[in-house]
This record gives sequence, structure tokens and C-alpha cells, in this order.
Amino acid sequence: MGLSNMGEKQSVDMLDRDYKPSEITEKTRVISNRESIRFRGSVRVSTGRFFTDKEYEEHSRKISKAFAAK
Amino acid sequence: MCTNEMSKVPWVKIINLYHNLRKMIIRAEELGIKTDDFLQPVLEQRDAFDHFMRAKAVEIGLDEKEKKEKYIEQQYEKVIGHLYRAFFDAADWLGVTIKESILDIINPHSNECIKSVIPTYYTITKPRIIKISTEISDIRTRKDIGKSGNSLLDEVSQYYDIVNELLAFLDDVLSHNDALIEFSDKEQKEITEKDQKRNREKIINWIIAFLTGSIITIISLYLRSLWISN
Repeated sequence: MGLSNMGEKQSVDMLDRDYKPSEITEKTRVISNRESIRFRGSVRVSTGRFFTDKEYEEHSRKISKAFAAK
Repeated sequence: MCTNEMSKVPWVKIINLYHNLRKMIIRAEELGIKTDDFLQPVLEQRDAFDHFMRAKAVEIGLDEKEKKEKYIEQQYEKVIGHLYRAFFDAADWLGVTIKESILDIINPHSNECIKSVIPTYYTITKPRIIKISTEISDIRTRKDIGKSGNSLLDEVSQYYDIVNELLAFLDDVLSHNDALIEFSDKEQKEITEKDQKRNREKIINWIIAFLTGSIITIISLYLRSLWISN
């Protein structure tokens, strides 16, 4: 059985969908916390211990600034 | 899948990117244990894996596509694109984590202490790390997934070398950690001794002032009693 025959057309379209660059926001953290009960992956991810894109930019800028200052 | 089709898959590019990426992620995770995780490289790897499975499904005939060869080629290009983005995100993360680790080591110590223990820190290490940050942002600005294979791998290897240079600086600073602590302790001891000496001097000055004042008072009282009796 080919993958194309596995289900409805909608699911096949979903399988072929392109991935755009992912955006990690505060909403991602809220969702990962909310869904953590069903999540068997990383404890860090399920407890929200990850940078959002904005936080990462700020962190990176802060470190560079602190490095230049010391 | 026949050998002819297999040979078209850009395995060298994919495997090189993947291996360099894994090394970056492992080091970044090791060093950044205290801080939060950066998920972008992991998400990009997941996307790369998905495209790889799509291509493989068509290759082995599990899935059917109209322009089979073109489809497979596109999927592998997308695998490279995602791995390339993952590599740059991971390398950037590792760069930030290395700088943070160096700061953690040197921050508790005075500039005098750093200068004495690591004489090259302010003359070579720090200026080079700041320059590396500029070089990294230059490479990131230039990054273009559509580049030809060699050019793309050249940039990956250039970035990889830069991050390795940063790691060497971190190792150097780390190797001086004990000496920095020892020097700071000595500095602290000297400061405490100086403070104690200053306090002792202060007390002696107070005693001298008190004694001088008392002697002057006694002499004045004596002279006054002499003057009254006369």
C-alpha cells in the first residue's frame, strides 16, 4: 500500500506540506506546558525551559554587551 | 532504488552538515546546562528528517509522485536547507554559550587579577573574541542556502573553525580558573590585612589624641591652680 492510499486527501496534503522557519514564542511555552502530560520528550521542553526567539536575541545581545564591558 | 539514483543524492553534503551540526549541539548542550535550551536547531533537524523520509518513501516505491526524480531531488535540497539553518543556529548558540562560560569564570575576579593570571586575556583573547563575533555575524549575513555545494561546505567549515577557536579560548581560560581563584583569595587577604592595619592605626590615633588632650587638660588645671594660689 502506498502512502498516498493511506487516508483522505487532506492527510496526504498535510504530509507534503513545506516547513516554514519555526517561530518559538511565549505561546509555544504555554502550549508545551499545557500538553506536557501527554509529552514523552525532553523534561526541559515540557517544563518550558527553553528560549523563545525574542528571549534568545535578548540573551545573545546581553552576553555580547557584558563580554565587551568586562 | 538503483545505484544510479543513489549516486545523485548529495550524501557528502548532508553527512558533513549533519556531523558538524551534531558536534555543535552536543557542545552547546554540555556548556549551556544552566541556561535554557535553544530549540531552533532541533526543530530544523526534525524538518530535515521529514523531507528525508518523503524522498525515501518515493525512492523505494512506497509513495508515488508524478515527477519522481525531480521530487526526490527537491526533497534532498530541502534536507540540506534545513540542516544548513540548523547548523548556523547551533553554531550561534554555541558561540553565545562559550562567551557566557568565559564570563562566568572571569566575572568574579578583578581586572588586576585577570591581567596577572592570564596576561594575554586583554591583549589577545578578548579582542579576538570580539572580532570573532563580528566575523560570525558577517558569515550569517552572507548565508544563502541556494549556494553551490562547495561554497556552502566552505562556509560551514569556516564557521566550524571559528567556533573551535572560541572553544580553545574557553579551554585556556578554564585552565587558569584555579590560579584566578588563588590570586583573588590572596587579593582579598591583602585587602583584609590593609583594613585591619588601617583600623589599628585609627585606634592608636584616637588613643594619642585622648592622651594629648588629657595631658593638656592636666597641665592647664595645674597652671590654673598655681595662678589661683599666687
